Amino acid sequence: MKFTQSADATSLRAACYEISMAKDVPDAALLDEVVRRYPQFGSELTEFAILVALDALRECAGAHEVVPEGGDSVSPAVSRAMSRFHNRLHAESLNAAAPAKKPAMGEDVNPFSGLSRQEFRNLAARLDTTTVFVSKLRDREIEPDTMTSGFREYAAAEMNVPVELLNAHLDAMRGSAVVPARFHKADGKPSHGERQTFEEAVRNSGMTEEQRRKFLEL
Amino acid sequence: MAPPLIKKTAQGDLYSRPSSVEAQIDEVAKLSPPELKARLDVTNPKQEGFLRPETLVHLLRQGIATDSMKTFNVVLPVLLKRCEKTLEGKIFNFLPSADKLREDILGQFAELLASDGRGDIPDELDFYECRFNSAFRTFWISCVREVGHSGQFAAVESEEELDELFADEEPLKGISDSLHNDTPETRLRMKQLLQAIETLPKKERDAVVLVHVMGFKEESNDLDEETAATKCNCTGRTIRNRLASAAAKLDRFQEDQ
Repeated sequence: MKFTQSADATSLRAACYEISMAKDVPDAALLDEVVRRYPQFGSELTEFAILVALDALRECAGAHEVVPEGGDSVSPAVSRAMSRFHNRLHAESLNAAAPAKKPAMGEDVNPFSGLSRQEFRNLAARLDTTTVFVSKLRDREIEPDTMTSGFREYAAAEMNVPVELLNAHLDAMRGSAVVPARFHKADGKPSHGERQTFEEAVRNSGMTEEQRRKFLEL
Repeated sequence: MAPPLIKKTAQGDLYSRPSSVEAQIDEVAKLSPPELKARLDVTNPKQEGFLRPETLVHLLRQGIATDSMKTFNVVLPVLLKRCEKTLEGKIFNFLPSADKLREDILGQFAELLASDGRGDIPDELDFYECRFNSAFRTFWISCVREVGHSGQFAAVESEEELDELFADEEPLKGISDSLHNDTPETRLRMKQLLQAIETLPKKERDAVVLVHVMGFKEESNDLDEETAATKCNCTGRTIRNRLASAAAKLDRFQEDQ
């Protein structure tokens, strides 16, 4: 189910949908019919149909009737899936504007990557901080655990991106940020040294005392 | 009225939502945000007001198309929580990487939702508005097959070439009956049979499903006819041996219960 799959894998997936959408429990006639149209996938479709039939047996037996808990709380797995949703949604919106920028499947999306130099400066102004500090966010130079949820929500709102998307970027492994080369002068490329704490980054980015206080209270 | 789906069947007919889904979509369109939230909080399918997953997919697609973050921020977690629960019942814990596999499938599904209208099958989500459970079953089984865990429901393989075995296949014949007669008794019987089938080696399990669930003949004199033997790339005798061995095991299993 990868989105970068070959045409063959896409055809196989389409054939699998045909089997499972046609009947709850695939029978010999259905499998034969689909295999006739996709003869190159005979063994794969047979294996798939057997697994579908087994799962149908399970449902028939009511073996796994489950009801999720209500309320707003979500598990870490659902939370991460939501991050992937927002990452993907953002990537697709960038793709719509610039198809050549399509990131590979699973690659983290950097919400700063689509910004021009002027937009980058405007963002710093909206955040009421300096471009140095925004660069640290962009290049993941700040220890994620030291950034408060208040700050993250504030930054996401000013950037007009879902907080899950910003979190996915800030929490990702360092060094994989997608940053346009135009931002890096020879002596200004992102370093790969130790990350700063949020407080260190606030204190060492040329912000005014008032700005520092505001950020540290978020 | 929701716009019609655009995906077509192999016969060229348009897929369509069940009328109950169409009615629910119309009903939900009139709800205020707090009313929608209250409906989303109903998690039991048997409870009044429960929103079907097909309806949730429609709402999500609509939210994405209209860039309504409010909509998909309330609908997405509900749908993903349901999918998470489904996967807990499908991807068994005895797999060494079950948690990771479930999480990856959930993540891939979330990406599928976000890439509506794009990708290799742009109208793929039409399936999910039509018959969510069948479509999601396709999705997770395909994911499991891709990572090479499709044998997860079967025991470790061990098969010797034997002379033809003979066994009472009565336990196997009950599978088809149970499938087509949904009563509390057949459900219980199916549950027991299923536990037994999941302990079978993959080759025996495949033979049982092909013959007794899908209705393939064991073998045929017609060389053009697909049978369990041609599907498993073996002789009819081997299929009969596998069925006999499976029947004996199912019989023993049921006696032990």
